[in-house]
Amino acid sequence: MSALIKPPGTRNLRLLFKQLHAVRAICVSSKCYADDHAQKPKSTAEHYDIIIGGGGLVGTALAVALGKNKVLNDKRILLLEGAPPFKGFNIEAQYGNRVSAINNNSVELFQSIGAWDYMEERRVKHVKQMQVWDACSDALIKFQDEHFAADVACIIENDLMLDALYAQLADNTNAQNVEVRNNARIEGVQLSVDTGDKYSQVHLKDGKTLTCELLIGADGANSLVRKQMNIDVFSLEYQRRGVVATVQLEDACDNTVAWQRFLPTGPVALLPLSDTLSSVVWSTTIPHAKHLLELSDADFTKALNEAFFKEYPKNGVVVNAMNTLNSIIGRNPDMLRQYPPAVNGVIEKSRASFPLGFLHASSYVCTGAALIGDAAHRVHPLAGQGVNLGFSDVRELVKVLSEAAYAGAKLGDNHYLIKYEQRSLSKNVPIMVGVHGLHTLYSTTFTPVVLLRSLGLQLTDTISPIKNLFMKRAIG
Amino acid sequence: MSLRTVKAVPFLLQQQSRYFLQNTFGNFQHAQMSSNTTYTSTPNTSTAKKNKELQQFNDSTQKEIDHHARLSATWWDLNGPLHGLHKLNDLRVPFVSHGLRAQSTVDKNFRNTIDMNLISTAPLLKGKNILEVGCGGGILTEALARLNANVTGVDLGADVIMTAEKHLKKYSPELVERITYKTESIAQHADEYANHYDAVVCSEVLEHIDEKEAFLKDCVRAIKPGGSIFITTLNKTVLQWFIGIILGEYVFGVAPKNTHHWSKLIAPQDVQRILAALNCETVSLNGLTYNVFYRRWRWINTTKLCYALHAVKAA
Repeated sequence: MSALIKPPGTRNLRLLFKQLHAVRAICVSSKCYADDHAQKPKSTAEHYDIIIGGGGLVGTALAVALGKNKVLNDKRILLLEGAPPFKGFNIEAQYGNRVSAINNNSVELFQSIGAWDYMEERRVKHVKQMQVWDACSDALIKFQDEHFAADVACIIENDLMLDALYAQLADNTNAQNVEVRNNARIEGVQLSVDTGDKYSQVHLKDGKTLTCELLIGADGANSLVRKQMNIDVFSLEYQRRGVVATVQLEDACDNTVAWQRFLPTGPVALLPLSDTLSSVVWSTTIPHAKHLLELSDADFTKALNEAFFKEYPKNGVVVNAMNTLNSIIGRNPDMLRQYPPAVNGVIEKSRASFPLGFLHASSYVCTGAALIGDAAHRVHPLAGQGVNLGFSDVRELVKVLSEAAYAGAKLGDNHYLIKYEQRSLSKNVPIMVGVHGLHTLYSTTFTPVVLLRSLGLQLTDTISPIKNLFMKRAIG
Repeated sequence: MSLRTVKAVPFLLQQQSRYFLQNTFGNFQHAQMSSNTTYTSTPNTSTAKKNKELQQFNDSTQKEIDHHARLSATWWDLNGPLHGLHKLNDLRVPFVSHGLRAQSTVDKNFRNTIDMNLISTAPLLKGKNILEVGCGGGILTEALARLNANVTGVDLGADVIMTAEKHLKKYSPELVERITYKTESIAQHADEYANHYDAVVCSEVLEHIDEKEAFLKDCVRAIKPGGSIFITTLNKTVLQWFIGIILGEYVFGVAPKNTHHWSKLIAPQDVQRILAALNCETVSLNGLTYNVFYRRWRWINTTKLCYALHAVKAA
């Protein structure tokens, strides 16, 4: 018995997960079994098999992926978006300030739904290397594929991704079963689990009622669908804001390296867009973010260069420890260090800011409903993982739904949706914990912490199996 | 001090293992619960009586009918006593659909009869007529109909058929035109529909039948020449008795207690022998088992536990 109680390592954790699921499944059971006095949905309501609430990047990608899936091609899918129709992407126009670092898993998703070529024909920046370093010490880590053969990430504007996805939906030869409804704000949701009906109902602000077998909440961190599903969330605000801007580099260069420096106030990242342009994501305290937005363009440029090049006061203990470590492992940090290109201007009106927070839903599914993207999880942008986790959800959900349809099950069948939850959780949780941990680790100047994180970072960079493990998780 | 710690260990262990058992084998409680709730509820006596007037079954068959009638209230509870049956759809639906597709690839004249457009799509079984013998509450019936097959479900129990019809009308009205439920024996049905069906499916049914040869003969009678019969059932092995019946019914609650009886189980070679005598060639035989921790069925390399068999009637 004792062997059963304490199985080794990860198995233990997984077992625990399963137990939780088993127990939860039973708790839910009384809910999903029908009561007899349920009302019939009004015959006037329009019916869809799947309704996706929220037409952001992740929601739209899901609509396209569902529409392109052959097993699901007899299902009617509706994408609800509160905003007016997407204006489209203009390649002549200046680069947008909202960009994402897309990992290989997400690229594979785009390839499988045929949207990748569309983006590649326009502007996709391939990043070959990533350098991350600490302002409080000389610790530094670099990520790259062997001989720079593969990309570390791709930097793409969010608008271009949306445009590519909409182009797939507009193409008449595929995804015919997907309908997009703009200016459609969801006012209320009645899930079939609660009402005992066969379908869930979605009430729109314009008074229309829709019914569906499966409702997907892709409606962001304040998800209405999640609230209706009665799911608890763990969330915290970082009391930081992310400042974004598009900046002009001093000299045209190859520009294939993504740079990130951890300052005492938060990380600042410089992501390549083209030979002469880069995008800035600067996470910092709320007053400092406000100050950065108010600065004149010239002063902002100065502040940004300072953030990347300024020498911060270093603690003697840390410096000594790092020197000792470097002499033991035999590396000269000055030989390895590269410096980011200097910035000489910021594109007009490209500065904006957004709040940073952490959120994780205790569950992603219930009978007849599922959450994806930010509705289920939200992370700090320091590792550029947020949207990638969302795209990974899309892949898992489509896989599970096509399995369900292929086995003749209902799309809202909890047995299959739980599979999606299990697969997504096992991918998302380690990354979310890691990113949150990094944020916490780097938001202090307390010497012992600085010492440990510097040694840790340096060692990670030296011991390639560990480094590869991190890379595999983050890059996909 | 140390003595006290040592003394505490067995107690802790006991406590721990109890928690462990309760958490891990949440189903365990279910097994008990089901014996309390569903077993005390009596079947609808009026329909049972009517049923008796219509047909006279021997005691053993009547017992099986009553046993399943008691389950009709929780038949469609996904996490209820029959959860194992719900999850079995994961394997048995593709088993049937793949089997039918593979079988219809080439007919006698080597003409391609398969509709290539339907490969790997949801309406996989479009145009196929399937008879499900012992359909119960319709768990498999609805799944097959959702793949666009026309399914007839027959069962001896009037109560379970009522459950099936109620569920169909209320929760899957889109399938109404493709599903017909009937309370009759396969013998009666085969008289009316001899050589009619593309496939006959008896899933988790054979282990409840006394006269297996007569039953299979009637099943085969309803299949049209070249059609298929799909059977899933429990093997008659000591391993299956221990894992499937003792652990499965009394500890893990995979199936309600008293559902399966050792004496009624049948080995795959016996099924094959009976089918061979009826001019049916076995084309595939696969083993499967249920993982109680993951609550999932999976194919395994041995047929010592449960098995799925596909045989084709000579054209």
